[in-house]
Amino acid sequence: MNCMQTRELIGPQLDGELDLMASLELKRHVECCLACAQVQERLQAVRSAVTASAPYYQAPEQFGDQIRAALRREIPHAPAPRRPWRTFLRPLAVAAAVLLVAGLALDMALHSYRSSSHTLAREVVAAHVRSLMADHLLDVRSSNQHTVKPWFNGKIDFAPEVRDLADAGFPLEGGRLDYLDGHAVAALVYRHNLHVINCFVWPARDAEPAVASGAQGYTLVRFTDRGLTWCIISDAAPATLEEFTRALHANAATTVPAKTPN
Amino acid sequence: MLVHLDSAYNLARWLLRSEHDAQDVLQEACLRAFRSFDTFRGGDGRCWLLAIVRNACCSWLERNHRDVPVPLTEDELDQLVSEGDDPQGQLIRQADVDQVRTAIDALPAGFREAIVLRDLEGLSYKEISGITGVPIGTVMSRLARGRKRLEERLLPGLLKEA
Ligand SMILES: [Zn+2]
Repeated sequence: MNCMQTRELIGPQLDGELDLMASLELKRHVECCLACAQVQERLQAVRSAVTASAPYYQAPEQFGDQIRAALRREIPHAPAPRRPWRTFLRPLAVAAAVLLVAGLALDMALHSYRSSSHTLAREVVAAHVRSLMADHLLDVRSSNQHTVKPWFNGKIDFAPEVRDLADAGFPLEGGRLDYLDGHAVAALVYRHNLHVINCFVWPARDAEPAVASGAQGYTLVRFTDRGLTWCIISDAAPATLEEFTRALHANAATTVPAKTPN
Repeated sequence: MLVHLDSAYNLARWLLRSEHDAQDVLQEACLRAFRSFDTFRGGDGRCWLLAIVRNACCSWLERNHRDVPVPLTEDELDQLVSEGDDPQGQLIRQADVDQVRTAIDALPAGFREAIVLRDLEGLSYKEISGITGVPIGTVMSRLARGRKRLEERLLPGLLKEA
């Protein structure tokens, strides 16, 4: 490696963009070339000055509030995605695995790309993204299932089971009221590390097949259990969502089906 | 999306060099991002948002020619001085911050943008290329040229200290 080549690579090397081989060659050259060593040293100094002293401008709190308020006003008018859902569908290995859940009589079927599924999945993705974007994640913030479940009383005419799954690595964050396809639905929010898991729950309209699919980087799982349809969405890995679904079922299976209070 | 608000704000603030303009443009850009989230194809939400913010800033700069940075507001000055420092340390730190900030502000927007995204946001060349819509080679040369200019401006002082 000559001096000219070396100098080109000094920046990328500092930025961690060089592969191991090139890095080693560069190191060898710099060790025995004073001129290049000085160039490297100066560049390093500039970079540390920038990272140490250049201000990182943080959004003022008041400005954040302003944005949140503006986004909230947008929610009712948020358009449905214009792109056809189908183009985003890709088969996922998880599809079959998620369905192999013991203890529940799930109506299982492979994903038939029905048009109603497209619309619904698209709306679910939209609702999920909206909930994250506008900070509209939680209306009731609690990890206590006994707080979250009653909160829905009177707001919707069905009662989803609410369980904290912290033991399985999925702490309950709370819930909120959301709308899908013009109907009020319960949204239960769980977290797994940095991923938010939204569970939309509504009374099953017809026998809907359990499905797992992916769209726009999200994984969706849908099933019907005791008259309620659950649609679970997250940007967590498909395997994680599969694990979550299993935890949800394991928990439900050990409890007596709750009587609807309303 | 709001989890990336600071990143978006930092980029807009550096590109427009004014608190007031950064807030105006960013609010509009956030609404635009919100309305067009169907263009988000998964992957890194921060890069997606930064690309939208960056485009909004560029069109603003095209419409409004302003060559001189707007001085920091009082609030910004307060924010930039770290609280833990003793008064003496604060003064030294403030001087460093001013010097580096002024030097970066003086760079052409393309160089400034590359340096902010790389050194303050910690993005890879590939991500920067995706956000700014220029080839990776161009990102590299902008970084190199931008840093060269900073070196000329900052290094005499830095070497004296060392
Ligand atoms: Zn050399």
